[in-house]
Amino acid sequence: MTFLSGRNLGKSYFTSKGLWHKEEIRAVYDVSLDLDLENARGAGSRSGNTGLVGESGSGKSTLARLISRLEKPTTGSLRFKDEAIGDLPEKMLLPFRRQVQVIFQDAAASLNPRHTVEKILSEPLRNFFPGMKRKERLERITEIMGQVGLSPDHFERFPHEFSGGQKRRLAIARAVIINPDLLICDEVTSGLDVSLQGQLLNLFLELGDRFGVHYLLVSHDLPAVRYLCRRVLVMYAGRIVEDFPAAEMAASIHPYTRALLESEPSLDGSFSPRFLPGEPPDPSAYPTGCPFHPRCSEKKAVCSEQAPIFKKVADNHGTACHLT
Amino acid sequence: MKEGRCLALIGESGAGKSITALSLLRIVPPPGKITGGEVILDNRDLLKLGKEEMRLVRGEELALVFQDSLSTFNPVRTVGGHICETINAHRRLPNGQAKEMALEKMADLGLPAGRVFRSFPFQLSGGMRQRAALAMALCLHPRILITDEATTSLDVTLQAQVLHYLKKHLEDCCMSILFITHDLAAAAAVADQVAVIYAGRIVEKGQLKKVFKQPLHPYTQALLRSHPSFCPGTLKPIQGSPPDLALLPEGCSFYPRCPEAAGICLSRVPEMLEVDSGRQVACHLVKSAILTKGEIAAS
Amino acid sequence: MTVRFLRDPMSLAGLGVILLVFVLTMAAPLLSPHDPLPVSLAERLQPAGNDYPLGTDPLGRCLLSRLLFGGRMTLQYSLSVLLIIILIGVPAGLAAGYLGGIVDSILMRMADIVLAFPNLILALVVTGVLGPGLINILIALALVSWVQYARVVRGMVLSLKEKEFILAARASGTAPGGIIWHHLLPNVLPPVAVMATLNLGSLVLSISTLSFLGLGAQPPLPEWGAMINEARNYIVTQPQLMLYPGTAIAVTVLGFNLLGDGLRDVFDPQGFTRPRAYGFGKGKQPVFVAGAKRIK
Repeated sequence: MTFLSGRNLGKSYFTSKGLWHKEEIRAVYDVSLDLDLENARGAGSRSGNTGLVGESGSGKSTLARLISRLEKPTTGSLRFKDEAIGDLPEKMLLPFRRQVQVIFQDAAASLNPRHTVEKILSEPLRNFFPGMKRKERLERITEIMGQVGLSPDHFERFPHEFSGGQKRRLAIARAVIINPDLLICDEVTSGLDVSLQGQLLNLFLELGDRFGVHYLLVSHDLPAVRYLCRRVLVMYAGRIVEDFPAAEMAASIHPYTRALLESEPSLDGSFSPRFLPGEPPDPSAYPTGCPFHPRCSEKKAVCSEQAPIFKKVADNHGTACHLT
Repeated sequence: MKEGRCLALIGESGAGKSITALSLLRIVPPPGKITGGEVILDNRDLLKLGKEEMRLVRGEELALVFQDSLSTFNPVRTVGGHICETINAHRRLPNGQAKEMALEKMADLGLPAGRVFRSFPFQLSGGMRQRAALAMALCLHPRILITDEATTSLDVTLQAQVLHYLKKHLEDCCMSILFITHDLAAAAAVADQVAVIYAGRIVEKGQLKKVFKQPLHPYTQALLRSHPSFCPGTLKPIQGSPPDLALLPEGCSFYPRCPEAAGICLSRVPEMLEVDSGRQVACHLVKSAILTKGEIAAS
Repeated sequence: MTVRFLRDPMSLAGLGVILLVFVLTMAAPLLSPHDPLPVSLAERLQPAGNDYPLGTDPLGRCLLSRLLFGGRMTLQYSLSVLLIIILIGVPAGLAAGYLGGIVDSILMRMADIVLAFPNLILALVVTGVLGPGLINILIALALVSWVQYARVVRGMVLSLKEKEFILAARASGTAPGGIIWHHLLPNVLPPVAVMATLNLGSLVLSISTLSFLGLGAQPPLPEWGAMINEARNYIVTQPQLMLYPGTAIAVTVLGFNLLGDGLRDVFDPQGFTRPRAYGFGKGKQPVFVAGAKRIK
């Protein structure tokens, strides 16, 4: 039984161009993925953590919102423990939400400015454990605040009284307070100072060890993904183009993944000025065939005609490329 | 800073990186004020120049690129209009010639020059816009380019593009870059010199490769230990957050977060110490370590 | 945040004026020296003196008593209208903004129709149809004013709905009702309170205007607007007849406006955020968060 699996997921947005004409923007297009947490149990602290990387506009945030069911998929099916949840109304989703939590990039915006810490943290407790008494809730809140590194006697405070790093910890506390199995993190380490980023990544690892939380880290920050995750999914133009183990970065096959890895500067200053030419494609008009072919250095004739199919090349490695 | 070199200024947010850049250009927003010191460019102290002279220095000799390229440009004007305006503010050129210069610069940066010239800022992607901002800064061939977190919000692939062109420019046209960032890896990619700033003071300075390989100041060490690609095992990030610049601790401003802080760190501000040629550190511990080493050698 | 309010002399003055007007008018039965209604032609147009502190009107009624009772009438009806329009406007705005779709279209087209006419003219038409009387102008004013609140609330809800804390609440399992009640409403109400305070001043004016035109309070009931109307014929010989109710209206409206401006700053949870110096904080533009900008 797979924990969470999506088949041919797609999400399109429509913008009106002119009076009658509508333009379709395919943010996510025909994505299938399985997140299997059962096999990962007891197999080391980082296993079961998956990274989802890609450029901005590649659809990774939309995909994160689809599989956290904050958006309804336009096409395809989403199953949570063998139950289809793609079309369920909000109130039927409680068991799913109980185990799959999300944290967002902008922690400050994800906290209601008019709620105190106590109110923020008791919201999930009230929803998922309606029988809990206030005293029990306060105990749990104090406990979790200590665990994410916040001072437990601050629960009377408002979000704006905390620093940026503390707000992030608060957002994490709200997500893990109900002990979810999967935590979807949307760009949570982007744009942070290295020290803060390091603190957060370590907090994730620690919480993973202690509570068995697994992560789906959506990020364009490769070092962070490599640090936290065992498996990496690469997205390009709304599709998953490669799925491979993080330890085997060098074994990546898809030219886009390789370009991504090569454009990452390294600390020893040995940065080779090789980079991907061109711009990410416009989601309202993807190129025909393989969406990457206009920027690909190894393209063949077939690439511009036929879209490649996602194939397994090894047990834990798959890619969508004609070259394999 | 030396000609033709790139100095990276790294530190956490709130450490005073950006204010340093603005001070160099003398555009510190009120209520800030430059309280002392001097900025020497070719033996001239910029802080003593008149307003009009300073205006000419900005753009012509010192140019600045910001992090947020969308707000750098006025949304109702074309990119080309912006660049021509910058050129015309300094040189009286016939219209066509300014345009030619702008197009040339944009082509240098790998942009489809004709299209970008006519575009409005919001029509460009983030990477193109940042390169257009770079073109605007570079169009007058400044002596020194200051980039303030110019690649921070970009994707790796786009960041690599910008870094590539920065590096290329550095080599082609005898120019210096002050590369301000909190991204250690990006700094390592372009810079050859590095200065680490903490709470408004430079704490370590030297050749980038040496500093990153063998950091001396505990803050630099901690900063590097926080970076996932520097230490593959478990990260050991600095605890706590940078101090409030209004309430700096007495003595060394880093001691509350320093794992090795000793008695002297609490009371006295450490001064810059030259440990090697071009390598400077401001730390009591390094100083005493060197002194003991010296004593041993002497005995 | 209360401290901030108390430090601002203008909002304090506003609060003082409003409190004074409220106490005086609500205690009218205790304070007024005479019954405001009975006519006594023998006592007509008495000058101010011991017996009548402000003198009497052309029908020999005590001007001070009528002023106090008139204010009571004006304030009571303004507050009632306000309550009704908030009770209609805020839920309508919440529904339109949160549910969207057909509900939004219907409500907002209704609002467009109402907004296409000047407020007072529309109220005049409605009272014209319903007939004069205070209850009728109450209905008329409520009918034409709720749309402003609905529009403002809808706009706020539309922008709030995109905020990540609403998404986060959904991810925490909060049902739509809980989102409206716990997340949207608390963020919508403070600006609405400011708007209401400012609006109260104009409602006092509208009620007085309609009464002045003879559509509101019917003689012999005292009401500020109606009193000005009655004083019209004596504007040259007895200007004080018009001056007293006129000043009362002006002072009350001013008080509400000052109070509203003060509240606007108070209700911002982060205080009046000063623009941050460039460079501290990544990529964030300085934000001036004051209710005023959101309302207008």
